[in-house]
Amino acid sequence: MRAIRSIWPWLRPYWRYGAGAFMAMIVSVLINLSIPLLTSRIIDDGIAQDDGSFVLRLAVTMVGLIIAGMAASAVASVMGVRLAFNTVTDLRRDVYAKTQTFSFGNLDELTSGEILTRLSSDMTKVTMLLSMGLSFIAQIPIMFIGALGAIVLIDASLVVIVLVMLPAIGILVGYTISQSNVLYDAVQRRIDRLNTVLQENIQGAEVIKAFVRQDHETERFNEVADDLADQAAKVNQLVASLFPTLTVISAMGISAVIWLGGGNVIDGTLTDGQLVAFISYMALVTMPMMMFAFLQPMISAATASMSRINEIFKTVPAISFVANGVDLAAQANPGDIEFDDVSFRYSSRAATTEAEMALCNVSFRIKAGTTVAILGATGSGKSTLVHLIPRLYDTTTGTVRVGGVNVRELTKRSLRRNIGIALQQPELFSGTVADNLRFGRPDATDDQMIAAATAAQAHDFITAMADGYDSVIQQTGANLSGGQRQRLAIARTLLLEPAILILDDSTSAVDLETEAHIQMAFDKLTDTTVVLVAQRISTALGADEIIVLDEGGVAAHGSHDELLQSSAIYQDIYRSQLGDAVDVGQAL
Amino acid sequence: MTSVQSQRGSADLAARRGPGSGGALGTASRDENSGRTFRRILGYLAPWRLHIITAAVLVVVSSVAALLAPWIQGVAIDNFISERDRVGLRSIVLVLVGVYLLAWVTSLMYSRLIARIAQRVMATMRQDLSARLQTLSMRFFDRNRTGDLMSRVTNDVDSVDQLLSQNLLAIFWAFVQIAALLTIMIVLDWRLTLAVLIPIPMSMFVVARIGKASGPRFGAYQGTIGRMNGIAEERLSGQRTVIAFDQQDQTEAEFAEVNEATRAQGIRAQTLTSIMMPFMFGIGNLSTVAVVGVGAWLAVGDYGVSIGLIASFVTYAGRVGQPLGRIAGTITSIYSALAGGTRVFELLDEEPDLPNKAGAPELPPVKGRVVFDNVDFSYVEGEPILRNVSFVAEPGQMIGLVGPTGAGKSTIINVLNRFYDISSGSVTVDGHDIRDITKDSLRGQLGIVLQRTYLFTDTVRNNIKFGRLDATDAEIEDAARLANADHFIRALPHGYDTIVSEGGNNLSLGQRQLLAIARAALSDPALLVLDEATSSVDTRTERALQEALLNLMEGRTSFVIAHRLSTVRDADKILVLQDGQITESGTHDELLERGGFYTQLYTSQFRGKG
Repeated sequence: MRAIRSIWPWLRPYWRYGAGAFMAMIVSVLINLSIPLLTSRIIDDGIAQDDGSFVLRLAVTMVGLIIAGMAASAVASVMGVRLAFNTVTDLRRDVYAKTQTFSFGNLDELTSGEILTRLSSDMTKVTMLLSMGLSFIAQIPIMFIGALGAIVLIDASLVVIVLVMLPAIGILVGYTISQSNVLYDAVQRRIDRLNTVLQENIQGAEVIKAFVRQDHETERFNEVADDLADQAAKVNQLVASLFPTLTVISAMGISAVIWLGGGNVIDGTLTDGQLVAFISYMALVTMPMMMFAFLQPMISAATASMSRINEIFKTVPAISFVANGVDLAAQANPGDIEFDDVSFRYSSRAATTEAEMALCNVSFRIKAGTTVAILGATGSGKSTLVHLIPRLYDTTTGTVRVGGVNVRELTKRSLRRNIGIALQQPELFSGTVADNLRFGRPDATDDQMIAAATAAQAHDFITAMADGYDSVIQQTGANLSGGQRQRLAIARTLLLEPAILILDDSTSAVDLETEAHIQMAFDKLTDTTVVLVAQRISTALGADEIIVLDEGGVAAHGSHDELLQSSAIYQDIYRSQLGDAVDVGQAL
Repeated sequence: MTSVQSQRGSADLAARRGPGSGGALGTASRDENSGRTFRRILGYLAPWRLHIITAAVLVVVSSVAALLAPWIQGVAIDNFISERDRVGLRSIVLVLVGVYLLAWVTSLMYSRLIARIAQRVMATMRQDLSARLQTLSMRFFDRNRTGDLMSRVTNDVDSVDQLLSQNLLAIFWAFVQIAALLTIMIVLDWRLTLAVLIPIPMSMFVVARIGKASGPRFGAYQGTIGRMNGIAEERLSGQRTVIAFDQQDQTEAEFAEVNEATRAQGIRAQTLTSIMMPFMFGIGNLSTVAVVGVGAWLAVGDYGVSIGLIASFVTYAGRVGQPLGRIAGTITSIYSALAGGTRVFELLDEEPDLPNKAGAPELPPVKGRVVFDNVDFSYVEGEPILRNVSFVAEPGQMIGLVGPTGAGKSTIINVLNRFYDISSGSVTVDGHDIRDITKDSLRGQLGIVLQRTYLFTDTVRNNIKFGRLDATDAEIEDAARLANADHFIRALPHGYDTIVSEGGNNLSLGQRQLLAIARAALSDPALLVLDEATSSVDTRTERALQEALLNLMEGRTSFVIAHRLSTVRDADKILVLQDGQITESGTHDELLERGGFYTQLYTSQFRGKG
């Protein structure tokens, strides 16, 4: 319940709708409460006295009241809807805005699917509660107190029946809620499991088919589906039992009223009309409990959703930028890079052991305008290292300086605008080719865009597409080959005309000849520091400097000739492709 | 019905849930469609026929019992309380209690029964969907988005559950209630019955109007919600790029804009339906007044109406609103359930586009002669990817495939594995046309390391074991050692029992590829395919791997696709692909001799900077 209260800041601007709904609801409840009383007067004062005109007058009054009640209740509903949709629209906007403060470290822990659930189905559950639930909940105490008051007024001796019933109902509802919360939780976990298996079956379809594991996967899915069904049936049966049971308790109360109240009528302490009214009020007094039981799943669901939404608000952005940061572009040599005793590990929670460090005491300097290649074994920390330059992650210890300034003191905009990085797994967006190329620089001219595409060896295949630069790219670039996607990603980065250009193994799917052309284009960027994460020795040969990483540390740093002399690892890497060079020599 | 409509654009993600949401579907076809969907959903209930009949009987008993009670109350007032008969009062109260208990027990029974049946039916439906997904081709998975498919198996089945566990029951219950109510009331007094029914036509009219008017409003709202989810899904899954290019502000503004549109549309759609409930409640109250008014007038005029009778009718009048309210509340949710059902059946009806031929035999144990004869292929009609591809791979040969990006190298593998069917020509393995044998028997003997490495959220061990489910731990570790993965696996926090997380950072791309190689090696295939299997592996590791891979390929026909030519240098035959055609073929030395495209590719490896 605490979680649901955290919605208050978003609710507050629309409190008038809430207050309006509440007041309209009170009017409607009071009218509903008055109906049995008027009914009893028709019976006692009209029928018993044979007063036809009194009956007519009262009946007309009641019709008027009921129409007024309907109107009030409709007003409450409409206000509730406005309250709900306004609040949730604001809430969703803010959740999304919050996610835009996240950095890579946050995204490692919160997947896009998890965020999406919070933006869609969790929001729906909160909307449901606000639009329908809130006004119902508000009327529960009023209806309860009003009906109880009326009962006391009619015949205080019968109140004992209510006093026996209510605790029984309270215990029953409480028990069901606590049980169902536990069970719902178990169901939720099984739904998550089902989703995981399902997602893997779809995304891994290629592998599953290739290894002919359809039956294995079908069996795995069937198991989780059955498990979910069993668990869900359990909780649904529990919840389904509540309503009939509440009804029977209320019915027992009515039976008791007829027995005891009937006795009072026989004794002459109660009129016939009052007995009829009493029966109506019995129903009204138990109705709030029933309503609560009915609303309870809605409240539980919304509470669970709200606490999931709160997780997003509570997530501390892994990187925060200083308010009055330094502008990188204003530095004398914005292309300078310096790592000063940098260590890094991914999970902030794990205990620090040497083995878990992705980077360990890394120090080096790169002068502006240099082309540097980073080589190293799989998992040696190459991607990690380049992610630290534009401050996509913060170092665990040590300092990264760009343009001579600690990256923690630079503004976000100047960092990202002046350091271009093409990621290892490039993400394209649906839209035209031009939209994608201009992603980081929406105001780039056509000439600038075409120049960048040409340098990235993308111009030719783009113009070969049906609509050239206006061709539509499908979601995630599904209509392009891996190499084409990578070239667009490189062009997009080049268009930034950054002081530092980072390519994180971004030509792995590009053929060698095209890659060579792309690298030739980099040669023309004399002022730009180019950082290339690469597997191929050919890339390293073209670089001014080479950094060799081994298990998170710098194993060697120098020019090709220097390293060939001094570094055993580099010699080994070189030799792993040396054979080719000899062959080429023979062939030519 | 056959094609799942994924082409309608990203706006469609969640748009097809509500009534009339598609927009393109006309009312008539929607109704007709809904009818068919409804009958098919009922089809899923067939195995539970007996349970459902039992439940129905219980609903009737429970309803009749619950409705007899107010009449008994009236009798208690008229015959015993008014007559001052305490003994009679006691016995009729006991009868009343008995009737109430009967109503309770029967409704408990049917509620629990229905809850169980609904869950079982959902499980069956999900299992059918999952089984169907497993039969569909890669072409299908290319065309449809994961999110959309998942939503069909989860959300859409859930909305069908609404129909089964709540709506159908509610409607049946409502009709039983109405029938029983009418019967009892008419038997008791037809004049008061008429009084109760006065407000009913009015409420029917209003419900119909509201239902009709809110349909398009819901459609518009759901459409916008779908568009919003589409934008959020795409942007969030590309969030790393958004961050790297500092486009958070722009993305935020874009989302805020579509989010803002949901505000007014949501209010517009919900306002109408939200009025329905208070209205139905008010109708119940009006019935009460009508009964009391008419009853009193009849009683005053001595037309044979007693106070007990009026009391009974007051209770009945209060109950008339209930079934009507439930029907009203159910109608919109039935439309959304049927929309969900339609999406479920769309997927279930998706025909496997690469079925096995009827009575197709299994491929006998493979010796390894693979022949491509004049193969043409295109993913999209009119855009040929392979043209006139012909080659022969003899048993045990290693075939290298090289060529520029997009030349069709991976496509040859996709065709060989029968992920896709060729447009013309033929592909044979040991003389069997691959279209004449079962797909599973073909794929079962092919070991593939795919270009896009896919690992499951499971332990490292189980991911390798996926290659051969009955492999022992020792065999798994041997395979890992062969793939040069054993070393880094042991350095992981839990070794072989470390969970490979989705998109997490615990494994690099290169390490994932090594696991995929181990997986393929474990499967001990007759034909081996390595599609850029080591593109993200550093050259030293690759070199260490090379020898093991050569050993693995020994005696098996194998296909190796690589950009790094060192990988294919030892091939018995290298096929050079350009624009979907084989332009050169021969051994490494022969090709270098020719000085053609291969030589160009080859020398470019060393044409570095400067």
